[in-house]
Amino acid sequence: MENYIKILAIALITVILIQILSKKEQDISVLLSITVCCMILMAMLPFLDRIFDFVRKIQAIIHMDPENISILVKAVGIGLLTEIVSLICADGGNAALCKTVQLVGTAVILWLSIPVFTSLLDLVISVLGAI
Amino acid sequence: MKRIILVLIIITGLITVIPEVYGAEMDFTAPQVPDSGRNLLPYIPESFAEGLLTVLDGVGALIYPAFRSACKGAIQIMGILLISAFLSGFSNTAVPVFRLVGCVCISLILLSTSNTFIRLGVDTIHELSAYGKLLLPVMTASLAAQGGITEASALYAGTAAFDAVLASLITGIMIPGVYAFLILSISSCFTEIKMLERIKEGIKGLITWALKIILYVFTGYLAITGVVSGTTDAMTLKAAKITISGVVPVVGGILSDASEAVLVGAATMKNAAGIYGILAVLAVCAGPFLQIGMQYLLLKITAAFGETTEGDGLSRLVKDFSAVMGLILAMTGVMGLLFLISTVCFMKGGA
Repeated sequence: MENYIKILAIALITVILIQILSKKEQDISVLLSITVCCMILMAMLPFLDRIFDFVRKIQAIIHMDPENISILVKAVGIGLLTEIVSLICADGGNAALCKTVQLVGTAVILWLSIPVFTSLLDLVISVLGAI
Repeated sequence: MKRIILVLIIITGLITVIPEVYGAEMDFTAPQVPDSGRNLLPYIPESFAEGLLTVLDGVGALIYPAFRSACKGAIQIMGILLISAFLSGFSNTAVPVFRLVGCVCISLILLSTSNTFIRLGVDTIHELSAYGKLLLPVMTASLAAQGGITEASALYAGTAAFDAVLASLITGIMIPGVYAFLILSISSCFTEIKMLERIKEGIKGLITWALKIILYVFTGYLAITGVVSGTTDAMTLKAAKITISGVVPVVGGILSDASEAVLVGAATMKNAAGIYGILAVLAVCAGPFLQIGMQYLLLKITAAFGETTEGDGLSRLVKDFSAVMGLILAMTGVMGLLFLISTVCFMKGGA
């Protein structure tokens, strides 16, 4: 909880600093934004670790396929990174790059879920076979 | 002395001739319970209450394993819904993946279970239909022997026709419809195409509507034939008794009384066969009905849990699977009810 308060404080100070710097030093303000975002993400990792431990615990209880859980966890990571990077791009004033990053994120998530799509297709075919 | 010998000859002749006249055998015992229901009704009970208690006792023993297996599946689905709800909070971009993975996992768990229960329902319907084919001639013969020839033939024709129509409708149209409903549910879970949703609801509505209509028409048919043919048979029998006592000189009255005794005997046999028949239908139906019902209830509870944790996405899929269980329950119930109602009508019928 203490870390969370620290993260909030760092974020607020960074926003004020970026506001001051953006008038004179636009480049440094973008760099500062990227650096603080990375720092906050690193600080968030212990929280995520505990959350994924809980998810793994549920997975062990319900005997869910570990492959599906790994897809879910990867999707969370890809989704988070895509959103953060696209927002940084938007803050830097590059809308085209922001949209491209979102597109790449969606494509990677779709690529990740191809095995799930395949198993769903097999499932539907097996049901059709039962008719 | 001559008169006594004459009376004895006529009574003996009456006993042997009556069954032939009504085209029936004097063996009015109901057919044995099929294998699937025999563990619930292993012997012929002395009374209806005793038989009912035996069936209920057997059903009670089935509750725990059915509940346990249904609970296991429900917990697994609740876990998937919880994981999906938990991870959905992180990223909007990844929400379709959570829904897809959740949909596949839930379908993998529920599809094999649902398939087992659909097969169980279909097997029960076939067994009921096969048992009905053995029970109905017995009930028809015993009702005819009691004097209700028109009523017996009308009841037999009606029940047999409705049984054939319902069995072929269920296996030929409704069960493929149920599978189509499942495929559409799985597809619409992650595509969110409204058209698929509407087609799915249409299929469900058609099946429910068809089952209701068949049961309404059947009960209506029974009500009409019961009133019309019952009155006809009563009048015919009364006229026959008056003719016998009037035409046959001297022993006409005695003959009329003897025929009354034979009719009472036939009624007793008919009721005994009917009671055993009802218990047998219950024994065949009760086990599968309870297992499917247990799965239906637990899926409903799971869907309600999903709505509170995950929202309307995956819980709608669970709700659809519970709807499938509801449809199978309805099909089995309608088939069982068809034979129960007709057996009761056979027992109630006769002059």
